[in-house]
Amino acid sequence: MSPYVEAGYLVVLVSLSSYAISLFARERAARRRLRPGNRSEDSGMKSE
Amino acid sequence: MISGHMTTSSRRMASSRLLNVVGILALVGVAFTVWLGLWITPNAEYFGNLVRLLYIHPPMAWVAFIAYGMAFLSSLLYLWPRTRDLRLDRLAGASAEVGVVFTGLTLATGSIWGRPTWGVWWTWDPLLTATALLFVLYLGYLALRRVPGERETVARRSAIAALVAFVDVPIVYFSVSWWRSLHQPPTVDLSGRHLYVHGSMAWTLLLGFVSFTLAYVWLTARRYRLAALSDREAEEGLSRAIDERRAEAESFV
Repeated sequence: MSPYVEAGYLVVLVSLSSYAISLFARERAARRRLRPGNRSEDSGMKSE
Repeated sequence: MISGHMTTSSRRMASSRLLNVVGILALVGVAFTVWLGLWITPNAEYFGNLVRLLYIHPPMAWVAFIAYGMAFLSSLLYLWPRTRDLRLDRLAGASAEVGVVFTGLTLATGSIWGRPTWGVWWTWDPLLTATALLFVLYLGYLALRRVPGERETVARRSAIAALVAFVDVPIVYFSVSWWRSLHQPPTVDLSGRHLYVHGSMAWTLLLGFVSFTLAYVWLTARRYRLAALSDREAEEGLSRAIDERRAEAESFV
């Protein structure tokens, strides 16, 4: 297998997975900030 | 009121379930594309093993076009007074961000293809230049969305920017026909309905198009949700700040 082919597939799969994971993490963090109990302690946090 | 709330909640659950199905289908489809593309399909006569990059590079470009098309359409509808809705602005922003990711991958996989076939990682070819410009234009669009301002003002100026940036999309697609280019003609020629690959190679390419399109739908929906949460967070932050100022003012009276 050509290293260029392997590099191409690797770049696509790693980038898309990283982006998907980052979306998950940001969504979870946003939900946590919006939970009523967390309002006062997170009030200084900047929204996205 | 309660039944209304339950309807909204059950609708949300149904959309979550649908989104999960799309996500799983995208994951399985991409896994099959990789399997077929790397191990099952034959080498090509001229490009040899490198032809395997074909199953990922054109789908990346295709998805970027769909993403920018969606951003264009949503922005157009947002600017139309009768259909103005902040959900359309969110969709435009989400779709453009996913489009930028796929444009970056189009440039990266194209560059990886270019090194062994053309001998260079990058050349100022019309198609490559127009694609790089597309990437920069939409990065600018995303940066513009982050410039502070009233929510409606941000949405309006972003919508105008999305319409302007979209001008480059047909230039990218037709650049190989309009100018002499190092790049070969599109693998799937939409105008002539030609397909330059056949058999298992064609099926793998088709699966790549479908799978990455599903991945686009899934990523855009998740990004949209995040944007909706951010809007809610900003609204709640604003009303909390107003309440606090009111309470302060009352304590002085």
